Amino acid sequence: MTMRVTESAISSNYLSNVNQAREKIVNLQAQIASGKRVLKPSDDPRATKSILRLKASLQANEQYSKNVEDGNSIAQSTSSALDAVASLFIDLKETVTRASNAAMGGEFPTFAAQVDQVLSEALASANTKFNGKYLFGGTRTTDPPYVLSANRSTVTKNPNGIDGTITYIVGDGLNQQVNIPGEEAFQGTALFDLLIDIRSNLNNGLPPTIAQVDAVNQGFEHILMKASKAGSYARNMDNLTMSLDEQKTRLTQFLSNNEDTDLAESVMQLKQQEAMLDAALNTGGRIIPKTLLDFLL
Amino acid sequence: MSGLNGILDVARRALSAQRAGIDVTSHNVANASTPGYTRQRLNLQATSPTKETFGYLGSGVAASGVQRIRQAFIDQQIRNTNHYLSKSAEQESVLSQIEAAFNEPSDAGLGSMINGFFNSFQDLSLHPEDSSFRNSLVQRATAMNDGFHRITASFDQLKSDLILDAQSKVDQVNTLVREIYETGQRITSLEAGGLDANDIRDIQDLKIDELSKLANIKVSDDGQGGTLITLGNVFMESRAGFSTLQVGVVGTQLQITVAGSSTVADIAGGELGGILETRNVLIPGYQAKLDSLVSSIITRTNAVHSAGYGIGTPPPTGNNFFVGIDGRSINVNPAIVSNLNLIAASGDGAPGNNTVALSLAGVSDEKLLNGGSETIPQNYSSLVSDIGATIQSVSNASKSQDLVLKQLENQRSAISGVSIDEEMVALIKFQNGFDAAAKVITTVNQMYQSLLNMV
Repeated sequence: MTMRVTESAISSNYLSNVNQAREKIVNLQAQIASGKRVLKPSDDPRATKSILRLKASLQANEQYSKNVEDGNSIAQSTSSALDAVASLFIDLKETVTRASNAAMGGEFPTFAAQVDQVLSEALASANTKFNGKYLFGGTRTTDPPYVLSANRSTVTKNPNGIDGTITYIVGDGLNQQVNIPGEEAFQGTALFDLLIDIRSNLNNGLPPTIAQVDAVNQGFEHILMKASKAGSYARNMDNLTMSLDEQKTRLTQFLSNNEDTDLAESVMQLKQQEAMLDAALNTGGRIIPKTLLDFLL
Repeated sequence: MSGLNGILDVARRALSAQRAGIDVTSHNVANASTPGYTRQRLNLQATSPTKETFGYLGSGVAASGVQRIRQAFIDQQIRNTNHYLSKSAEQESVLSQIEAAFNEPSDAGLGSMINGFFNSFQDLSLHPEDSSFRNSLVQRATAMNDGFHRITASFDQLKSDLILDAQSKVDQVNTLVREIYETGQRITSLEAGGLDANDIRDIQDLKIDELSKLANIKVSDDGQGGTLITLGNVFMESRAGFSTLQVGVVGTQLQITVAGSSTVADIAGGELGGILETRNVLIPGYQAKLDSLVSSIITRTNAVHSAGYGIGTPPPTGNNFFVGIDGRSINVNPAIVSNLNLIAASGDGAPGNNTVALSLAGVSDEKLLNGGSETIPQNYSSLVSDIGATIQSVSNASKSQDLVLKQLENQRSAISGVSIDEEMVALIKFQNGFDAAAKVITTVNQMYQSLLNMV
């Protein structure tokens, strides 16, 4: 049976075709203009989930980079403060070696003054403040870790303890220690006590003992080791910075794959839809006005 | 009844039948674009023949009735499709507003704010001893809370808007049902003489179509040419009377009941069905999910935070970071807002200790939700993508129902619609018939003349 086709069916079909074509064109235009394929969750719920996850990862990545940058500067400052102490100990080694020679007894007061100078400078380094924090205070970052008594005869450490380690988050489930606590770096007050003992001996006309000379050598080694430990933290964080940068590039790429309009394809689709709209309008324009009336005289 | 007078009589009846045909055609053409109009057809029948000696002679034609060309089966299908379509279209439009409130995926959406909030605890971990870094933490927490408040408010707003919406739709239902009843009464009285009240039936059918967009009504024939309309478990209309619906709120639920009784109308389809399901099931579901998300942010953050220490001598401890229990009430503890040193970053009171700040930042990685399978950000993105998936599915449903409806309407139009071409053909046919009958009269007239001239 042939279907009866009525004028109202023709016009409503025509309108719905034109509307469909226009709706697709509007969607494509929005995608092209915004550059985004997913403008709302219902456009692609699965991609939305990925997009939200990737955006969160990017935010986290940004935060990690900030943490790493901050931690890196702390580790570097720690390392250079310890390097400064190590170079003081090089001079100190020479001083105590010369002082060990009894023939030099007349110069003991000079040596004592040199040792005292080292003590002052080493303490200044141990009390280094960076970005508002005492680097060697452990977690007691607001109080100077070491105090030299007024008569310069004793060094005391912060009684609350200077052994706390500080850790930053530098990646998903990845923590990095950024400080070397004073307790570890300077063996509590042992290194400063050693300096005070040598200075008192010299002031009393005694040369440094063999044990003291050995202790100075070992102290130097110890400081060097801790400086390189801080240096290795800093290097570790340099590497992290690089891998975070790479991760960021990757995440941005994934995000773009999920979220961004494939411009070439969308423009092509737009052209297609435009052609279809033209065709729909054109046929509508030809067919709708035609009835038998046109041919009746 | 033979003889010249007999021929004249046949021609007279033919003239009036062809004229009636042109009448019906003219009525069809006039209503070619009237909504709900069904094309009509003049039924013609040859009248009873007379017996002559040589056989039966025809006595001409008579119009036997004017008939609507319509199929009740397609009407029923269109009405069924109407309530599926209207339900999903209604849900799509309401849920799109929820989707818009979430403003995802974007860098300014709630998801970014939640991540931003937890990330700012990492900022705190970099400077636990410095109170000047704490303001931004409170600002980001407040931004996140504002996000929760805003979305909760939009849920609440939608829920109260939907009550008004339901009210206006129920008013429409009541008006339509009353009009269907009144039209039914007219039909009964007009058809009492045995003739079809075609145009009035068109009006009634159109109103029933309208009604089927509002609710999932069932229409049946009462066997005597009247309609019987039910809505789920509720009687709506018959020739004997009709029901009126009303809107009420019972507890948290929107309910539609029959006026003057406690019967709850079980409306599952149409715009009202869409409103009821969205208002009573979908929105409260999303709200509950959001609230449980907020609640776990509050309780977990508070549990970790209150075990930590702020800045001071002695360092303050035991303070909650948040007050409130859900999306509506979550706020930063006012004591913390007025004294930022109460923010606990330290695990032992040492000012440079950042272990609690680290644990707080780590709360966003803890699998706290959905039976211990989702972290807070995961739970949030599931919620957003759930809403998106629901909208996608109702939108797909409404698109496909729309196609079905188009198809059915084309079918209905193919049967009941007016075709101008067809009407023009009929017009010419009737006109020719009319001309021919007139020619018969002229011929008979000439025959009379011939006879008279013989006298």
